[in-house]
Amino acid sequence: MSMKTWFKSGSPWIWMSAGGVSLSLISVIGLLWLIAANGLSYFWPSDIHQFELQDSQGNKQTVIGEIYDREKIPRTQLSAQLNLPGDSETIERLLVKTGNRELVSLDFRWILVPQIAAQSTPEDIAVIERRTNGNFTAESRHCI
Amino acid sequence: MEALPTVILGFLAGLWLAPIIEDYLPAIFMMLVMLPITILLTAYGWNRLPKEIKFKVPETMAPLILIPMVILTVYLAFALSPVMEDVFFGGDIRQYITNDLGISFDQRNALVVGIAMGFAVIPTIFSMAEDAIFGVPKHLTSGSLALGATPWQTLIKVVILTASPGIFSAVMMGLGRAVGETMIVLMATGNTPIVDWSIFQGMRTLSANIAVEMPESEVGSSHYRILFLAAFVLFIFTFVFNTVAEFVRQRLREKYSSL
Repeated sequence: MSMKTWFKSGSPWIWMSAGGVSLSLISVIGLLWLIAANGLSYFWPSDIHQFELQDSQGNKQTVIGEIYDREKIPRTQLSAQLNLPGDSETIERLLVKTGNRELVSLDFRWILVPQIAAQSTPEDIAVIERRTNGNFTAESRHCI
Repeated sequence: MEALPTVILGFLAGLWLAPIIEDYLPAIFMMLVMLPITILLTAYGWNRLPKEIKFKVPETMAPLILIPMVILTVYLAFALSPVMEDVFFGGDIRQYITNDLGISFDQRNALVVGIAMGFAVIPTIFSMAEDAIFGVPKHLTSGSLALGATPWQTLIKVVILTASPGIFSAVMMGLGRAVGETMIVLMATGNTPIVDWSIFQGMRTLSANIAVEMPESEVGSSHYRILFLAAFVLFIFTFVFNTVAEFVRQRLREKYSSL
């Protein structure tokens, strides 16, 4: 049937109402999934990575922690002094949740993927939750 | 939807939704345009399918057919949002709104609260309106359809008019719930006591004001009395509103019950 008769039959409005229903369905299920994912991830602790960083001056640094988030940002957002290799327009960076707040007073830090020299998941790193100064992340030598 | 406690809605709206809306503001407005277009295109596409497929996938399954389309449209809107921001707003829509349009932009604003409040209010309105519509006697719809009206015409001219008292009271109940809703507003607006029409500004409602200031006010002081006055104003407002709504409902019942 032609466009005009189809419009007159009122079918577009029926489909718009159906669209409202599907939007509500998606919202509810999406919300439940979001809450469940954020809450139940307590039972599946994430992997701890060890990153060896090297910046353009040759300074090396080791960071251990779990990867919390990743982001792609435009190169112009970063300081030009960093002298990052490559020519891409966006740079990926990882948000790493570290521990040991009494040694370094940062809980989270961003590390730039181009600056990662090596990344590994060593077997004997442990994260211990404590009451003060946040988590304690270290290499475990001995388990009683 | 009814099962979601409003504290969860409020805290998700303030913590999770507000930053997303701030980062992807063009996407929200694009969705307003793209979603109806996609739905209409899907509807027309379904209409042109051959009869065998239309028999297996009838029009009553429209919400299920539309779910993948809606998800695709939303994904597209969010993917195109940075591009739109670069092309039309010089890379940052918040700066554009603040500098060029002169409207200051808050992260926790009326838009976020509107979306969260929708979650809270829609189930109330929907269940009561659905009861009202299903309460319309069958012989009216059968008669209208038998006389040659399309289902949509029957809905608009017969069913909704007959069910209008029920639908109106459903809307009033939803409104009452929205006015009294404290937790969503507390967590998702900025609680700034500024009166402004802009959707990009925060607000402080009467109920949220009472919740925020009552623990801090000195017992017996003017502040204390004014908070009680605010509660009284809220009560009178809701009472008058509900009474007027009841009058309108009665008149609608007299007018359309004899259809």
